[in-house]
Amino acid sequence: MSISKRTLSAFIFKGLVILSSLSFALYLAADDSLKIGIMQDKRGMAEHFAPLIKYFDTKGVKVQLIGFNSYRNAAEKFRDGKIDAMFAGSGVAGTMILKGLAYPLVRPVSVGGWSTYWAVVLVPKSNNDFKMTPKYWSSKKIICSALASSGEFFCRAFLGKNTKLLIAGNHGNAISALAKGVADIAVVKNRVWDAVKARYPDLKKVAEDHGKNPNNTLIVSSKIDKNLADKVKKILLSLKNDNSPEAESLKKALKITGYIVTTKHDFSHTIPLIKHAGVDKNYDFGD
Amino acid sequence: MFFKHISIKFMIAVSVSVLVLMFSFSTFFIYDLKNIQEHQRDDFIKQLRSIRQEEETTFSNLIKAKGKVLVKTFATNQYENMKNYDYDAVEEMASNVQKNHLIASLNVKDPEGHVIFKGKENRKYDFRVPIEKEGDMAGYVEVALNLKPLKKRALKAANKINMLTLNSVKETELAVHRIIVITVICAGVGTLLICGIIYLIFFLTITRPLNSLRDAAEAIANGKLDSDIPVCSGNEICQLAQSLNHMLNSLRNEKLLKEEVERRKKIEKELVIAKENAEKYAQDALDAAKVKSDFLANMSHEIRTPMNGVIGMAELLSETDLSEEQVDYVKVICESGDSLLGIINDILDFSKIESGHMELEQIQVSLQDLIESVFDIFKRKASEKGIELIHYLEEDVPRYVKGDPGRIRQILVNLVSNAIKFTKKGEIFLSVRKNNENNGVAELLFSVKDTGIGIRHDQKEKLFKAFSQANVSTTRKYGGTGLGLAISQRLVHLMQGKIWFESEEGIGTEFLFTLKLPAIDLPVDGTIYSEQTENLRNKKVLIVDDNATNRKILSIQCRKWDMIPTAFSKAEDGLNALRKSEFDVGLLDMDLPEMDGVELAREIRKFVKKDKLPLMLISSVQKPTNVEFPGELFSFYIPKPVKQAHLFSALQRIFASHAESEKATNPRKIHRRDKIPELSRQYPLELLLAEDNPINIKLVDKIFSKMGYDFDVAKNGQEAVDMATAKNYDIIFMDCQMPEKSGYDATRELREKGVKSVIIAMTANALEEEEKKCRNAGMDDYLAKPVHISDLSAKITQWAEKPSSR
Repeated sequence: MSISKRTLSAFIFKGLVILSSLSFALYLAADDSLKIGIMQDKRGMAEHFAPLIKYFDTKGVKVQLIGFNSYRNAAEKFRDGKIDAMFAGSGVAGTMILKGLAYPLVRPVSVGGWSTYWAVVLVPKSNNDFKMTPKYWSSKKIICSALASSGEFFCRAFLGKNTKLLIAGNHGNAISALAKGVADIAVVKNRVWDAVKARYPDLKKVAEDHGKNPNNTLIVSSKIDKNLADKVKKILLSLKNDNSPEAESLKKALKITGYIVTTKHDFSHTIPLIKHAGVDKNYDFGD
Repeated sequence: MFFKHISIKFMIAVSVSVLVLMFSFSTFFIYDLKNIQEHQRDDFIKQLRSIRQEEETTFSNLIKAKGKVLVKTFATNQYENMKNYDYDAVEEMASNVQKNHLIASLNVKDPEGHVIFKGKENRKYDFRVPIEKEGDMAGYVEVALNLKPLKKRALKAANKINMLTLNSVKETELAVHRIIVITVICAGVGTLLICGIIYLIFFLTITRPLNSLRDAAEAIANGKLDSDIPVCSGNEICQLAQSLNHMLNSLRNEKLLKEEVERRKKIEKELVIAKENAEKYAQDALDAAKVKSDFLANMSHEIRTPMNGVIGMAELLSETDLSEEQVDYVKVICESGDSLLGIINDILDFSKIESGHMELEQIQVSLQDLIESVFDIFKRKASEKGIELIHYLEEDVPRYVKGDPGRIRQILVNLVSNAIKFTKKGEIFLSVRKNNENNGVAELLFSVKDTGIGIRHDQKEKLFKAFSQANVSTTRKYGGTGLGLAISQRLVHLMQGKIWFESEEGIGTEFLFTLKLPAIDLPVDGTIYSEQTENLRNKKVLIVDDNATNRKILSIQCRKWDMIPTAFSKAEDGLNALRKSEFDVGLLDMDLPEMDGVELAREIRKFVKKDKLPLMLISSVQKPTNVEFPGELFSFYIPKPVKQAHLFSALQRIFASHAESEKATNPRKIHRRDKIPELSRQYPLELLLAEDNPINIKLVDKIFSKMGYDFDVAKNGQEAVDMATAKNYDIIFMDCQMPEKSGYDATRELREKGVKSVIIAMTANALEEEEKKCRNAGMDDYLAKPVHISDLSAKITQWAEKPSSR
């Protein structure tokens, strides 16, 4: 049996084409794509995540940002597997965990070396009769950040789930509103207060929470591919020791030194707190 | 030399005039032009201001509209931030908005008013925009707009227009200035042109003919009088040439004129001398008049002093027991003395009037009393002659006027005196009526009408002339100086009146005169009449009198008191009337024809008793005896002339109660008259007489002793001063002219020493100046010599009754 060279060449070529196609298909099949959910109303989130997306890209993980307009929507997306992960404060993260929609993966360690935070109570310096009692608080206007364990959840846990609160967009807003006399008491994240207190000489801290909450935890959907979750975890945990320009750029942008493993255990203070605030599996984020 | 030429002067005058006219015209023209220009400029400025204001308003509104759009956009965008308390975002946005040039300042506040963002300027905001969405309010924005830059822009635009306008105005001014310059140049050229023409005309018509005249005049001046100046015809220069020819003729008659002038100078000198003499004579006349006046005063004094003695003593003599023959002698002495005194007074008065020294008093005068007092003087004489004296003041005549009672009385006395003098029988009727009254000044018409001999037509002209009577025979028959009417006429003229007479020979004469006298509004004899007329009301009065005037007057008087009079001229008629009807009182005249008043009364008493019909007898008999005036027939006797007061008093006595009738009468007056000898008992006084003349001292001594007074005598002024300072006298009778110290000096010294006694001057000088002099010296009253008992007693009573005297 004699096979001509030409036939052989054509066979080889076709084989190579098929092989290439298969390789490409396999490549595509093996590619890790991570869908991170973000709140649409958060300004600058795209810019915020840009270094991270770039870093993940270098590590072979494509990041896709999925916007949602409310936390309820985010919870539904978690449930339906439409998003894989989300960087969230301890309150939202705890709620998602409590609802069984997600679990914690990692959390950043700041350049200051901290990864947790807690609630602090602020009042104007002129207030000399502050009392940490529900009765005292009940006659005051209290401002706090929405769905924050160092904000809304703390207040509702302390005063009752139906307490009327002034809900600020973030902790900074709450501090600013207190400084302008809009509220009598502000409950905010200690890290934010520490960062801005120099700007508010007329405010003072009068109390603080005794427990700590994990900061800005990356929670992942319960329905996420385990490999992908591990890969992401691995990538983020390796950041600490990664000196590549991309890594350095990311750390600088996020003002972190790296990520540490975070588990439900880290929410041991947070989850009871939000439970006291009235959060359960059916909690719909107040929407 | 140049300016001496009249043509040059004229030329200059004309040039100046034309120049002034041109200048005036130019000035007015320029002034008007300027005015119009200024008005235009003002209008421009006003319009500009208006435009600028409109522009500013438009810009302002535009800015506001733009600002509102901007801020509303901002507010809409801040709703979410405000709801989220994202104040940093709000502040950031607000800061950006505030940078807009439209916004001066911007405040953002929450619904409760908390300041979220405070603007850069603390200004009042222009408007406020809510931060809301679908009715949910998250706060509000207060905005103050920045109008300054745009205002500046508007101002800049306006200024640009201003500049353009000013440029336009400047251009207009420039044009005006050009017109002014052209006007001035035209005025100058025009002036020169007009002046040139005028000069040419002037030279041809005036200068050249004048030069000819000048040459001719020079020739005349050089003595060339033989040739006349050529004469043209027409203008004034030609007339001047004619005049020069006349002058030439005149020069030819120069010698004659010189002689005439010299003659006139002589006459002038004589006239000057005559004038100087006349002035000297006038001065002499004045001096003579003064000497005459002084002489008259001295004469008055010198004559009155012995007259005082003569009359006084004669009066005293008449009071003593005298035989009938002696009484006649004394009577003659008294009458002669009074007559002499009257003549002296007339001469003095006339002299005073003529010299203009007569001064009139202005005091309150009762016309009723004045007329009655005049009739009192003549009632005896009238009675003796059987003449009725009747007077009547018409209703509207003011009872009191302001005037000189002495002088009015003097006029009336003169006229009544004349009337009595020239009336043998009949009546003398004195009436007063009011002609008119203006501003309280009444013009009164006095009339003295007699039934005397009348005045012949040819005598009438002489009547008011001094020192003349109707005729010489009249003077001889009736006596008198002939001064009475002349004095009366002058006195009437002095009182702004006129005097005249109407007379018919054999029928009678009526003298009339008017006086203008201010009326005084006083109640008419209120004390006598007004309270008592009630008693007389509706009483029927029977009047029987043959004199029609008397009947008329009596009837009028009775009606005035609301009585009902019925008058008859005959006794028989009266009797018949009484038989037919009842009367309450009867007034019977004594002198009735056929049956006199007493006989009539007897007839009446035959059928009417006295208590039913009281009768009153009216008679001119001065002192009726019981035979003449039987008490059983008559209740009262009324003397003629009938005085209103007497008649009223008598009627009152009849009809009023006794007490009232007493009140109605005037007891003081009667008492005083009746009891003069007992005056000292009624008024015990300390009296001092300062008198150097022994006859006068004796006279006064007699009078005072009759009154029952003791008195001290000082023989000169010094003695009077010594005695009056040593003793307190009630009244001092002071002669004015005494040795050592005159009465005036003595009085002054006494007043200086505080002596308060009443001092009454006694002087023979009857001139009014004398009275003034006495009063100026400090004397209280004045008594002219010769002194009569009645005068003296009146003065004593007057001053004794005066409670506040000194």
